[in-house]
This record gives sequence, C-alpha cells and structure tokens, in this order.
Amino acid sequence: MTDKQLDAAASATREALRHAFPDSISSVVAQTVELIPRRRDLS
Amino acid sequence: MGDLSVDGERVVIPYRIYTPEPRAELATSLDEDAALALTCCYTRHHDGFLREQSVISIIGFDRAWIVPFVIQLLGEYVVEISESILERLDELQPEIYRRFAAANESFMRLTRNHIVSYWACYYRAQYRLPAYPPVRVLMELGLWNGREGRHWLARGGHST
Repeated sequence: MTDKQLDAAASATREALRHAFPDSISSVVAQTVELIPRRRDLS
Repeated sequence: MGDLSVDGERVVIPYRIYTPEPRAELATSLDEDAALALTCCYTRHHDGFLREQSVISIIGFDRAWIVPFVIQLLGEYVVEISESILERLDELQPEIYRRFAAANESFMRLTRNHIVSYWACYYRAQYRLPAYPPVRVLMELGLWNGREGRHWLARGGHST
C-alpha cells in the first residue's frame, strides 16, 4: 500500500471509532482518535 | 456488528482495526476517560495479544461505554481472552453489564449463539459448556438467560 492508501485507511479507522462511543463523550473521543497513527506518524 | 445502545445512545463497534498503537508518550497526555476510550479501540485490534492486554486494562472501570467492547470479545473465538476476563470477574461492575444487556437483547442473543458455536466447533473436547470461560462470565453476571445452548446445558455440557 502507498502512504496515501495507508493514510486513507487510518482516516477510515478514525471515523469508524468515532461512532463506537456515545455522542455524550464525543469531545473525549475526538482527542482519542486523533492519536490513531497515520503512516507518516510512525517514524 | 449492528447498532448498539449504550444508556440510550447509539454506538457501532468496528469488528477489527489494523492501525498500530500511538507512541506511548502521546497516550500519556490523555485524561482518564480519553485513555480508556483509546484502550477500548485497541480491544478491536487484529493482534489478539493486544486485544487481551487492552481488555484487561479496561474491565475494572465503571463506564457504560466499555461494556460492548468486553461483551464482543466474549463472543469471539479466542478463549484465552475470555479466560483473562473470567480471572478478573470480581473487577467487573455487574450493574452496567445488566443494563447494557437489557437494552441490547438481540446482540446478547447473537453473542450467546456465537459462544455456543465456537465451543461446539473448537472447544467441546476441552470444556463442558457450563465451564467454557465465556459462558461462565455471562452466567456469573446473570446474562446467560436465553435458550442458547439449552440442549448441551441440560446434559451438563457433555458433548457425547
């Protein structure tokens, strides 16, 4: 996979995980999912 | 996995994630709920050891949104993860599990069916059904209340 494809996969994972928690903790979840690494974060 | 309800709010739990964990120093900046949510996410990771370590880290916390992540693992095929949950049964908060189960009857029924199916396919030579770890966890929580596995349970869980 290219970096672009890996980035897209990470973005999809982040979006899926936003829906895995109740909206009442959405602000908590927002900071959490931002830590899910993209390809370029891994070095 | 379909839509689930956590205290009246809709959630959809992904089946597997394939992204690596964030660097440890980033995770240490999170407050308790954010750190718990992050750990919940990695209970869905493709690496079973990471799923196990993650669920061990969250099961002692009194947060209703943790529950579907724990129940989902009981309905999967890695019995070692259920054994780890069973070993920590006294850390679970029964009330939040019972509340979740009452609001998600079809998911609980599906989970019990998965448990019986995996036992029948892979573990019936190793455990009687009542002794199979995911069954024991749900029985201890009072959540083995459907008809699933009744044939085996009526026979003491013997497979012959």
